Amino acid sequence: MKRLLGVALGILTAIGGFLDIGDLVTNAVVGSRFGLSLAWVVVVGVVGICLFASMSGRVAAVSGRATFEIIRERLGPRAAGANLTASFLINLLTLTAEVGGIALALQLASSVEPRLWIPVAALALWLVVWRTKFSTMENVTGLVGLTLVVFAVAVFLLGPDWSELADQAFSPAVPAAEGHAVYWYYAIALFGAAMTPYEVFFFSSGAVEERWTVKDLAQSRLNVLVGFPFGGILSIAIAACAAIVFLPAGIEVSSLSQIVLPVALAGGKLALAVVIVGIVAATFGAALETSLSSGYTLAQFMGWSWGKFRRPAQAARFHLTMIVCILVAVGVLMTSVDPIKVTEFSVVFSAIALPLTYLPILIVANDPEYMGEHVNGKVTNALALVYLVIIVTASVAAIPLMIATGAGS
Amino acid sequence: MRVVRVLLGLAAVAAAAGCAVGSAATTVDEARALTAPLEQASSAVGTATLATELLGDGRSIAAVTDTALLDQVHVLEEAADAVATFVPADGTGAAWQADALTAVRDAQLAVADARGWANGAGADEAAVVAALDASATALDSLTATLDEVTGG
Repeated sequence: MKRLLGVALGILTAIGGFLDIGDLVTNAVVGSRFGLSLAWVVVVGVVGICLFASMSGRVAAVSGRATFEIIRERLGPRAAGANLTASFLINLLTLTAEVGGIALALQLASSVEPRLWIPVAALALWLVVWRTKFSTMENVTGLVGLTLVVFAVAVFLLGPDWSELADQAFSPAVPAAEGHAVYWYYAIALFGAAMTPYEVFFFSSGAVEERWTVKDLAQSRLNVLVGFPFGGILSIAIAACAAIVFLPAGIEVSSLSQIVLPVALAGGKLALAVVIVGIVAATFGAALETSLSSGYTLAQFMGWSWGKFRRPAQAARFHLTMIVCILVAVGVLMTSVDPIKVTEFSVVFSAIALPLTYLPILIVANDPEYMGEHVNGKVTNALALVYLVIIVTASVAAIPLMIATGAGS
Repeated sequence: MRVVRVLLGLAAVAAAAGCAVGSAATTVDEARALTAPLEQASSAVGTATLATELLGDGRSIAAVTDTALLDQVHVLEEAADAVATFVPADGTGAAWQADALTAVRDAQLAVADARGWANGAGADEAAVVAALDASATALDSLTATLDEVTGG
């Protein structure tokens, strides 16, 4: 019974923890401009993140070590350094976007200017990272983040024309008002939002934090293979809400305050309160994950002592890295930069850095020295190679498309 | 080598001249340039109307509507900036620009009034929504005129 509850909790937190500010914003923007014609990208992204997250979880469970430690040992400091640089910078950009997202969500509940919330959000973030147990932190934010299921409920309450939605999703076409370049630019942004690198580092380091072993492989797979696809369904629900309410009215989403309006239209004040709580939980949870990921990646590369299972004094540089990253995020946001713009750039730059993140994981997962009998099977490798092609194509096309489309404008 | 340098210099001068203010834009280009900020303004007014109606119907809270309206004030600022900095090539473009500026400024006023109402000041809900509707109609009408020129 206890085991079953553990599995259920793992799946529920994986669903609730799947969404972050990148998913919220990108799906709503895409829904308002393209309807569900880019829903297929979410499916492709979710399969990809399931593939690589389960791979990195397996590496951690079998070897008892996190991905970055092994990448440096297996590929040498130069290749691992390139991986670290790209991942760390993207992670910092994502952390900045998440802290901005918390502030914007709190503005929705209070009308208080986000710049006043940013230091508050950062302080709360640091306190939780410093004081709270890893499992408590992960479970609470994941479970509260589940309230975002209200987007799926809203889709039904809005009473859409289901055949039209199905037509958009299953016969995707570029809307007349949008060009092909913009369509593919947002396809890459959605793909980057679904496959954000920090999720994999967090998942692999979290496996070490929770002391997973080979015995936990089945539960790890279940968490990923059930939890993430349900998270993907919530992503599509966000896009559907925007497609139902905004697309016919010619409204383009450019702020977080617009994203909650379809939910209010469908379910009134109660649904609105629930969705605001969900957005705060999702952005706060993702900010915790990205803060920890910044500490994990640098500490694992440098060979420093790391982990929430250690007291802060025993992992001082790990904690210092997180504090510095949180302060940098606050510094950037206090310049009055629009957090939504930061989010939009973070998901595209995530897509650009994807090959540097995922290729090393694939190499390590195929190394019998670390994995023994648990190396990738033929089917996993075939699928991973297909994904590498997609990832490299998205990475190469992202910057030219960003320039050609004026970042999707 | 010298010839190459001269050619590179001429290319640079030509490129700079192409970027100069008052370039020979066609009527279609001008209509297209003004359509984008007008669509942006229409989107802002549409959002403002929805946020206002939700508050009026008791389906939203004042903080959410206020934030949504504030965000649309910023969107309209961007649209107004784009229209105001547009450089028309002839009288037709100048007339469109003047109409667009008026329409966007009316929209700014309507959204500002709606925000005042959401915060407990100003006119009643019906007047605020009527002003937003009138603004949306003006923006759509001008956009339709420009679409006829661009064939969009």
